[in-house]
Amino acid sequence: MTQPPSDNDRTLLDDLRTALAEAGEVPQEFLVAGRSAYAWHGIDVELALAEVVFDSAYDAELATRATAAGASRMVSFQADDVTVDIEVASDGITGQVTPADPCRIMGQGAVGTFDETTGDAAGLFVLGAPPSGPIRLRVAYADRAVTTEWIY
Amino acid sequence: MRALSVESLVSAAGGGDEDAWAALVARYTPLVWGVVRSFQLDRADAADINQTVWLRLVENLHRLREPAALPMWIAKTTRHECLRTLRRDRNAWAVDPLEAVDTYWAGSEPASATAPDEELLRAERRQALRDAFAQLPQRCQRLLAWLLHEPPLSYEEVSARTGMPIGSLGPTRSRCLDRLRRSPALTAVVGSARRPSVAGPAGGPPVAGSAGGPQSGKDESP
Repeated sequence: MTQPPSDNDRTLLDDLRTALAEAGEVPQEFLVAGRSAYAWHGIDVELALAEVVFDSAYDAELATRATAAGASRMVSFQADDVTVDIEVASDGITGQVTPADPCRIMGQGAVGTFDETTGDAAGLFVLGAPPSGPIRLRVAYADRAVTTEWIY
Repeated sequence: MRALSVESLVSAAGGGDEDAWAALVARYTPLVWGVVRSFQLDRADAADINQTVWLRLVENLHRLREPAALPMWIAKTTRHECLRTLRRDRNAWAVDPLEAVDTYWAGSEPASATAPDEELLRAERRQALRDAFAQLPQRCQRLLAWLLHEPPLSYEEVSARTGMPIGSLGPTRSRCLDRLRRSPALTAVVGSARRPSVAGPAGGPPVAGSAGGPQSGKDESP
């Protein structure tokens, strides 16, 4: 005859049940999104990363101000000597890079580049509507390039 | 087949092996999910966080100093993004005082805004249990899976499905659970010694079923 599990074994079995059940609850879209992120593997890995230094979505006081002016979101990124300021609206992104040297700007979403353009003499640029989900920008000057952190 | 080590998967994925990446995603997305759902965010935010965690990992694959600590990296990155999202939502409330007040009085402010590290440890331990389970010999994996079957199976049914004699089910179960308990994947997790239970997050759905194994009544009757 098979004995019922000991209390210790019972607890472990229950824990295992919980753990395995959790894996079964994962939405399929999460797995798909995770796999598709690999599209960016090996691309631009050595580039300087421009980090978020300001984001109106996360700064209460300025969020109030930004929302009063319109529904767009302001984000500033900073790498060593490159600054990228953008205003993200549902219909597009406007921004400015500093220094304003000739450069190419790419808007990248989770699965690929959604738009690219060049900065004008003042470093100003316009990109089309961003896809939903995380985005980042890549700014390439003649002699160097930076990518921003992912924001969403 | 037993699971490959996280180190070898990280190394292979870093070297361009997309299958290794897919294996990492399959193994650790439940961890992302386990952390995210404890924050009770809406589905779209949860999906953005999940995607961002994986995009960050792609960026950082070659920078991970300690690939074995990847589960912790994933759990902490996920939690960090969840807290950011909560903060963003709070700021949005501040923009509309009436809505903020309504929300406050409705009592729907996320209780997990300061989700304790303990919840993170539980999520990490659940991941460690899954990893340890994947490292078990297939014979053990099959037996334990049938023992955890919902609805519970009788010992006769488990015996028929595993091909193990009824009399060996109990002893084999004990041995398999011992192996699980002693698995390096599990013993390495911080807090596993002092945190025996891995109950789901407070806000999550209750765990169905009670103690593991078949209804013992069936077997104990003479």
